[in-house]
Amino acid sequence: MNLFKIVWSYLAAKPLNTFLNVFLMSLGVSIITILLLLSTQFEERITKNAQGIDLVVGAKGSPLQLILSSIYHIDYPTGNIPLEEAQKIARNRMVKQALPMSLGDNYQGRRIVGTDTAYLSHFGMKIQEGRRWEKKMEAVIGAEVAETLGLGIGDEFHGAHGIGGGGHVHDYAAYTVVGIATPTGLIPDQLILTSLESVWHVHDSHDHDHDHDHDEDHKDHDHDNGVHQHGNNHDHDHDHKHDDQKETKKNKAVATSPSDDSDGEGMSFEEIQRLQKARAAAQAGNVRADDREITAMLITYRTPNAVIQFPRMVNQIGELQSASPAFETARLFNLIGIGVSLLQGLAYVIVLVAALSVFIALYNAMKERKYDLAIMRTMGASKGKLATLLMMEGAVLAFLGAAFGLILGHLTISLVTGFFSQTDTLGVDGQLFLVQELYLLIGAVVLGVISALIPAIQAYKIDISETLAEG
Amino acid sequence: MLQLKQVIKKYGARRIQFRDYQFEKGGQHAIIGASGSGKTTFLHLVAGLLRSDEGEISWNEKSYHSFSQNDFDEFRSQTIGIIFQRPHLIRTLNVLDNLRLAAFLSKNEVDDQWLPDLLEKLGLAGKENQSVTTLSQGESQRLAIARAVVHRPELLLADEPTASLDDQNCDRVLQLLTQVAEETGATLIITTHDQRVKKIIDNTIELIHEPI
Repeated sequence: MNLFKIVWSYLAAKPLNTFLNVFLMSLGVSIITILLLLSTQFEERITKNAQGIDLVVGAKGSPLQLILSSIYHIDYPTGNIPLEEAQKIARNRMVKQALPMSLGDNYQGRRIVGTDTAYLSHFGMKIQEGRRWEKKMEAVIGAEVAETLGLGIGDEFHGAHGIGGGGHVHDYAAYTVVGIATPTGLIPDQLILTSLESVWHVHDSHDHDHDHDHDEDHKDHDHDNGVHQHGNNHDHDHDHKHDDQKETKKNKAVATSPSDDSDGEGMSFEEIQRLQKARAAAQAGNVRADDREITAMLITYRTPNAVIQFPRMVNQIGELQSASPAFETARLFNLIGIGVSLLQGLAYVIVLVAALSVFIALYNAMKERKYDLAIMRTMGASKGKLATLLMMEGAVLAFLGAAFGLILGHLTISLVTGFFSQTDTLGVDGQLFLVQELYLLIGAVVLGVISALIPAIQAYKIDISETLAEG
Repeated sequence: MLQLKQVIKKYGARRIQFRDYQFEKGGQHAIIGASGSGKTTFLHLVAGLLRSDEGEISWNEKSYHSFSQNDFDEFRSQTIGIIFQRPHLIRTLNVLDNLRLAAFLSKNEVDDQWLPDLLEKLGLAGKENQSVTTLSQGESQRLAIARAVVHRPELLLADEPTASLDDQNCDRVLQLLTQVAEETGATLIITTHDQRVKKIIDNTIELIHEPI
């Protein structure tokens, strides 16, 4: 026999009361836990992934969108920028490192990112198997991609248009997996990385394919992300009816010559004309590599002074905009913070209501149990022991509520991350336990003890003789 | 030995003055008095549940006046077992756990065999895991007796233990009380208005308090 067993017997004797108190407390604690897990991991993830990136240069549009699409691979890109302009910026003396990126395709929902190998080093991605890409159409896959898609060295796959899943498959150009990166715990674990040339090549071939059968292509291929522009050489002069307002630039003919393996068989007269025009332009050297485009560039400054001068300089260049990850993410946290604070406030109110409910339950219990308590006193229980008994009951109720709340919070996060791939990109893990949760548990128990304080004082002051005489 | 000397208890304007009593160790006594004669007050004073306003109560020549609140708690847990008119069992615990609770609160270690033996002796064997709410009135009272003696007290106090019992159960309870007191060597003091007690307990004292 011990005090806990006595407490438990009282709780078990009133299952509905106990359940309601525990449920109310667990509801409040679970909301706090969810918000805690989401905001902490989200903030950590956001900060960690942007480490070492001082500025992102991309097409004009929403700076937050540029940051989200280029660093966190969540949103759609704002458009493309000329490679030549990007190269000029990269050569600036204030720039220590410039990582170019070309987006636009995916494989089974995992984004294919054209970049250079410095991207791997920047994010601390080592090669656990295979090697880095050396040639066109070679790819290094992130650890998480390898695990979830079951890709291995030597496997081939075809990218699909768009940055989500389910776009038009570029079945004319296959990527080969040549390397698998070590896990970093960062977003690049979820990416397929290749050279810029590979992305350009896919879209060059794609454009060529368009020349053949663009009517069909445009039916099932919606260009919804607006980034199907880098390095493409669409020489067809019709207007794409892009639904997506995010697309800021019109497709334009640039760069490479169309493949020569097309003999024009089965093509309409207009298509053959366009193809011939493109070939002629290529042969005449009118299309230069400098006319290619990239989606964005991740910049690291050489000097802190660049913070003031450099973004201003970039923004003065017509089609370009710069976005500071630190500034934009702080703005994002502020925006999210209002909602989080409101929800947290609501959760704390629920926890307080739960504490009040525990108090009412124990206060009423005191009236019912005064004979029990008086009898215990006759058996030698001290006043302090009776008060402890009541406070323990409050603490146990609060502990159970908080513990179930924590479990519920983690389960909810795990289920949500299982259902929505977007949260997967955010890297929110339902199995991660934070030290703040321990404080939450302790706080709830302390609150439970406080709510039992008045009934405990009543128990302490109980007059044994008078109580027994009443009975 | 329990001694009461010129004990007075005040309830506002009402005062109860008790005669001097002396109870030898191991003796069995019945204090018989009419309703309102102060039987319960007497018992509560002896148990340390009430403090006398005047006079002196002492146990083994140690005055109750020298006891602090904690000393009384300790004294009750080690020395006294009390049985009330109503059993006042803890309804959320089963039969055995009611006994274990008594042992726990009295901080006395009870050997494993003592509790089953006690239940056997009191006719409650086989009911160990039964909820106390399922016991009959007689069984409940017997369990209350078992609970009072679980820590083998030196002084066993019973307040109207037979008041609500029929003759058969009254006899049984009294027999049990005297038997258990005898076996544990406890001094037994029963306060009652029930004249049936005289049949079992020879040493009966009429409780007469001096009106003031």
